[in-house]
Amino acid sequence: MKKIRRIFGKDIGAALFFLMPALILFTVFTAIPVVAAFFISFTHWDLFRPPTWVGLDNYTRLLHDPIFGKVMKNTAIFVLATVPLQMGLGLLAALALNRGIRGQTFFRVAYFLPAVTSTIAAALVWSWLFNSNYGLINAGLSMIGVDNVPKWLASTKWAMPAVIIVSVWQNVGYAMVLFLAGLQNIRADLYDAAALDNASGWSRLWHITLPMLSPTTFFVLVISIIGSFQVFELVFIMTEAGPANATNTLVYYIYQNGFQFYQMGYASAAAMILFAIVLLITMVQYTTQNRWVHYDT
Amino acid sequence: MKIISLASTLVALATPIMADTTVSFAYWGDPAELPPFERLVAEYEAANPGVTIDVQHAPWSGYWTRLDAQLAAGAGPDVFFVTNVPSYAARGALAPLDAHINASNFPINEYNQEALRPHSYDGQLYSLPRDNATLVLYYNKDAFDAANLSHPNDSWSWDELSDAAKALAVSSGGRTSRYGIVTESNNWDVWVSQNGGSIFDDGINPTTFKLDEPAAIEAIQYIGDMMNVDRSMPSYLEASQSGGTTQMFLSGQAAMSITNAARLGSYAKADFDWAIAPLPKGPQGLRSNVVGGAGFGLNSNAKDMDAAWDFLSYISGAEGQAIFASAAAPAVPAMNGNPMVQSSFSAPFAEVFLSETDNGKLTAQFPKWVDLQNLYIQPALDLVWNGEVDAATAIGSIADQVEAALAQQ
Repeated sequence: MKKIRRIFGKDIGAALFFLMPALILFTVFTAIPVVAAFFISFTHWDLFRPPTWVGLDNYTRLLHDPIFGKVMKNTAIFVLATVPLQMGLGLLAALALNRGIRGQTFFRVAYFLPAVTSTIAAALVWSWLFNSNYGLINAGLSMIGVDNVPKWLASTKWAMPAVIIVSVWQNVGYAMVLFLAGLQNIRADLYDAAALDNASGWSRLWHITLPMLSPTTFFVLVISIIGSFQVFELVFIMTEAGPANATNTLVYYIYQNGFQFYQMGYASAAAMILFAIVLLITMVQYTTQNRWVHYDT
Repeated sequence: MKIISLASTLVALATPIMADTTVSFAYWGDPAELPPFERLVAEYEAANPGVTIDVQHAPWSGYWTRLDAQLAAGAGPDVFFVTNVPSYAARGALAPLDAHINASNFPINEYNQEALRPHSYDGQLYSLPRDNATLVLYYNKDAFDAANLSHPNDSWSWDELSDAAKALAVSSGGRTSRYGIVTESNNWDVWVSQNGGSIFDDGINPTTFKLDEPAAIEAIQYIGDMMNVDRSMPSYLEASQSGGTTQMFLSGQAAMSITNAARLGSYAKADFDWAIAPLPKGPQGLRSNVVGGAGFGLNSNAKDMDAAWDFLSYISGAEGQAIFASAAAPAVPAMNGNPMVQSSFSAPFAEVFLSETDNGKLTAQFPKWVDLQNLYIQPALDLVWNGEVDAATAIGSIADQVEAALAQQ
């Protein structure tokens, strides 16, 4: 409060007034539900009858739930695969499109389009592409001589890679746009100085571009990890968590327990675990950032 | 809603003679399915001056989110269209109907008794089925004639079906351009009962898991083999990606289709000749079909219970059932013991639908069924449908977990 007063001075009344719409929406649709979910996670609640307090029961059940174990493993695989891929490819695309090549506006739009396409529509189209019998992907694979084409979404081995491919395709453009903005903020005189020293392209990339880009990289890393943990629509449309739970991830499992099995307490407990994991990872990132993120310009 | 009920209460207090009642009624349905609902409401209002039916319609996809939220808030429509009845009854959202049925002499005996079972919970009836989702075998006559195959008839059993499906399947370069047959994903249990198997010892009060016994395993493997050995039937996932029974049969991508009367409307637009046959018999000559369809239930928080029951008993009575049975998108009536209802069901091949309805057999319907299916049974069956594991292994691997979950209930 003191800090707020120091920032706004005697205008605090006006400040609060202008913040009101956002504050009310945040309170009603985010803050209160999050706090409520915390309490619901200690209850059994089937949505219709009043909840009953059960202490840590939901959490101990989660520990012994083999499907939850599988869900956690799937989520970890998804995050570990999508985050480096979408960041790496996003950075490559940004570096390529930052060099003033011909038609760069077209490519920027082309790479960014998936990010603004409705996930539901994209997931549907990709499901058809992955269709093992009629799909374009397997048609292409058999044309280049692959005999044993994968069954993609029907296969326990290939369903997760398929979802990962679509997720990366969708998010690369977003990472690219952020990296592009970061690249354009790097001062040109740094490169001029490097040119005077006859620095090679690689060493300019390594000693100037990447360090100067690190605040952007840090931001992209944090939001990519958070976004990956929350994957839902792709799974919902493409596989419904199947086959045999091969693509069941945390948020989908929360949805299943809450809105298919009406176990709101259990779903809330899983949501709290998700919250704790994301919070922990983000905190670790913030505390270790001074080792590699350079804010000086 | 609150304002309407407050207003109607005030009106009722002020003018006791011209009492004005509002009954809210919620249902889902595509535009093609709505006319009978609209007609029912109009005719009921005409016959009952002073009663207003407040209609709350939503498409299937948005219906449940809204209904669940309304019920959770202790509100919701007085009369509503519902499935998974035991789950709603167990959580106290539905009012038991038995007392109302007895008090008003409702002709419950004219209903198919087996069709009432999935609408009951703990010995009480909680909703009245609108229809029975009876399955039949639709077949493309042109495809059969072109392949010189004799048409399906009521003496067919599994062997004839899978032989014909295999003969009708067309593939080239490892890709199938026409399957012999396409079926609905949620009806695998019909094959199990046709083979004399079952999912549980008792579909309503289960204590033992029976899907791991030979008769059931054999049925599951029979389906799996059509998908992965004969390649005469698409896996359920592939079928749904290809538009399901509607699209695949209509576009000629499947020569036969096992589905319900709801497809009559879309199949009418086919550019080939088709007909309907009963489902094939199991290897031992057993016949079986699905039982159940959505029903109409009474909100346990209904403001005016008697008025709500009166409306419910109208839409689920002979007149209401006749309107649903005679609609352009006809529903196979669940009240098939009533002559007027039976004669108003005038769908093409009506006699096949009616005789198949008598073979209906309940396999499972209890509060935890949705959970067990999604958590254990569906994931295990996925592995059979995609050909990764055989039926005995897949189902064997979940038997203990399902038994443990049943014991917990």
